[in-house]
Amino acid sequence: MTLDSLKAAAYEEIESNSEKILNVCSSILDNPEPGFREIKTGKTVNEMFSSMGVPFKTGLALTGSRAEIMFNNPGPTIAILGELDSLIVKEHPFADPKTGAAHACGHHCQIGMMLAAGMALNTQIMKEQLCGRIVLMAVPAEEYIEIEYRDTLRALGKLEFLGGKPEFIRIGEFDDIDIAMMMHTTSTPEEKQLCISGTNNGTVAKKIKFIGKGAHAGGAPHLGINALNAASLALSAIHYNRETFRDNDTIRIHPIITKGGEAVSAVPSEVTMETFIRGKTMEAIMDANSKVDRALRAGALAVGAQVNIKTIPGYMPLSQDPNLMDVFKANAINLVGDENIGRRIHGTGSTDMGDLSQIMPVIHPYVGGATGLGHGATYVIEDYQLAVITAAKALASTAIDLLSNSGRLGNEILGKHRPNMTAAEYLAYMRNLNSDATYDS
Amino acid sequence: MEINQLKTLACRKIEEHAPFIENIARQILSHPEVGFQEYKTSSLVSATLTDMGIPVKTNLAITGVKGKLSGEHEGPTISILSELDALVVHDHPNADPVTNSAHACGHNCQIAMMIGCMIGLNQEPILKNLYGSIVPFAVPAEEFINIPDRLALKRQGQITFLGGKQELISLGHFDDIDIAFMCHTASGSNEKVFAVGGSSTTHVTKIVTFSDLSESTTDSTQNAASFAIQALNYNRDLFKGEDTPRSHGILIQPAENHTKQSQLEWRIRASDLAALENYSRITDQCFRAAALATGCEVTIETTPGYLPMINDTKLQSIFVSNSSKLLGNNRVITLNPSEKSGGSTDMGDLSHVIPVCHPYCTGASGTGHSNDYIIKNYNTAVINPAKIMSMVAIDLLSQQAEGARQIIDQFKQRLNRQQYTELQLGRFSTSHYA
Repeated sequence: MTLDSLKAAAYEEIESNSEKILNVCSSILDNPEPGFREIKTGKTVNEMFSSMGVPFKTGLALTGSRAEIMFNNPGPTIAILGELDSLIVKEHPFADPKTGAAHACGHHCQIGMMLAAGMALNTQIMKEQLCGRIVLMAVPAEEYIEIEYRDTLRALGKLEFLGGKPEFIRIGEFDDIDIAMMMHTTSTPEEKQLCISGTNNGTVAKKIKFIGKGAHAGGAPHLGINALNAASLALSAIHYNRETFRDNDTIRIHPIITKGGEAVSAVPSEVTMETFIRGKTMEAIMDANSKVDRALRAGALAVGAQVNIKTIPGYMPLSQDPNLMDVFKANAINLVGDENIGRRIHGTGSTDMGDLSQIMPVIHPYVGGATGLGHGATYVIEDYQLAVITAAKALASTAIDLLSNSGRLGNEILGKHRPNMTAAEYLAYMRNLNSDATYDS
Repeated sequence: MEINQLKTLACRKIEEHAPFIENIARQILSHPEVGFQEYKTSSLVSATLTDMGIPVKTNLAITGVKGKLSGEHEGPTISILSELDALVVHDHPNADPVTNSAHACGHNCQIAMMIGCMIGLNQEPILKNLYGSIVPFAVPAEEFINIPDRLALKRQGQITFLGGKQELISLGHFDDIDIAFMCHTASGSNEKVFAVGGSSTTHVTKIVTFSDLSESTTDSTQNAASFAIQALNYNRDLFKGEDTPRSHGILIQPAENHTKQSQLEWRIRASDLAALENYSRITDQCFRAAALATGCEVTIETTPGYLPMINDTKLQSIFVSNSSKLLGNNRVITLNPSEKSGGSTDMGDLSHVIPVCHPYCTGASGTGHSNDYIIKNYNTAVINPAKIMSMVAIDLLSQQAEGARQIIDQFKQRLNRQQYTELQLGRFSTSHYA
């Protein structure tokens, strides 16, 4: 059987299931849940796995699950990922009125395309023609939000890392995976219908507490130590360092003050801040991170305050396997035509697909169909056919390429790929990023 | 001869020589010179005093001139001080086009009034009745400016301290003087033309050098300086009003054309040394923070400034009685010592060693140290204070110098020369943070 007819069979399977799949997407859109809280979403996925008749595991990293499609011949294992979680955007038209959760980043489409690709590959003809395995993964918590809540889970021993894929790596769910792929929706017109993407920033997160001394702000300000002044100066000091960042490193530092004082009549004695530090390479991130630490200490020193700095590993920079991306690209061109293929060199946001890319070949291309601003109230999916059905076809055909012909292409890609680190090295690196230090002035 | 007759003689002679006296002020206005460089001004003073038959010693603390006019009888030595130096105000109408120096604080009038006072006293009938000596003393460098230049002079061994009277005290040039006074011009209400009392602040000056030793092509040192100023201002809440705290400075060009280096010249003032020490510590903290914030190194070179002014109340009351006599009661104002000026003067240093008085006379308009500070009325700015000081001198040294002796006896010396020198030397410091 030719590759083309295999792909045609896959596309037909996807088309015939499209109503079912789009209903799943719609149901997830109506029940948005942020990371590590995706109870309903997880249940929906598991019901689909059941109906497909594939063996699956649930409760992975709290809400995640994975299903397995075994082919008759031995070969590499390809994971197709979908992210379960939503954001919190209260003003979003599909926001949960109680929690404010909303799918303002299109993850509900990812679950749909992952399931549809799975259905296309879970057929008798594929079992005979392909080798190796497909693992369908529903992964929690890609959005790095609700740090406080996730910290509580961490304190309870339910998590170690605050993102879904790092947790999956930690609990060994990627140990038997050779190649991983997923797609993300985009609303950027320049990225067209299917977008070949490149690298993404990595990030570390910080929780900062300035500790001053309260005093009557009118009566005796000279007896106080103003923690808000320390924080404000620290913010300035961060900005004073911006000219030292290289354009190439695409550093992003965007702090917020989460507590700015107790009452206006008292010199603020405690002020807290959070920030991300993003950059193209871990080296650039750690350089910026040390400058941020210096700036935070300088803010405290300047007014005689104390500062506590907690550094928490975020996500690592994304680098996609070029050979794997070539395979995807050929299928993308077949599906939508060359003129509808977009290109993204580097994204300055962050994803935990970056973490995975440190230890195995991955791709994370984009599919159009969305409008509005990502993470904003205006981000909605307008073209579900493109965002889910076409995406599923691209994933399925890429998998067919990799696992047909005794897995020749898949093995070739694996043979050429040089991972930055092993899973064990990754975990050690992440753990080493954690720090908690208090500086006196 | 009666005291009042002596005073009348002195005032009449000053009046007769008013055009000559005023002309001295105008002449100095036309050749302003900054501290420790007042060569022309110094020559003018020594030539004028010599012409009057008053012997002088010159080149004291580089440019100082000290004369001596003795009464017929033995007695205490009082000194009439004047300050030789100008400021640097580039846009002042009388600024030197080359050096930008300008008399924007009226020191030119001080020289003239001192000469005027000596003209008034330098006559036979008066000297016959005086017990002691009068020392006209033109002193350099009251304005505490051009710190890098003066630190260079210090490194060359030409001076130890950066203020004129500081240097003269430590060199012993005030050892033979029992009482000193001067009069400073002021701009303000013409209603009150003479003011005594009040006090001034003590200060330190810091030369702060930020160096960026990184291999990066960016220069972070201006960011460091800017951050430091911001940090200083964030600490304003810690400055208590009753301490008259002041924190101000400028970004200066590093002496040599160092790359990746920025310098601040910063000044902190307060009404007493303990408060100053506290604010100085907070200030250093900000400079260290600026270095830390930007990854620079910082060197802080702290230079002792002046001590707070303490007017001798007894001497001050003699000024009040004579100024009231000349100008009328309602035109003299007495400020309480708690009415502190934010400014500083090295007359404050001298006030810790001998009894002094540092009153103000009007005659100027505009803002001190600014381009609009102009002497409008030479009569009130030069002639009146010359007359008042001559009358004060007569009160002090006539009648067996009873007036001077009372002041000397009651004076509680806070520091002798040795103690003063040790205190001020101890306030120099250099610290480096990397």
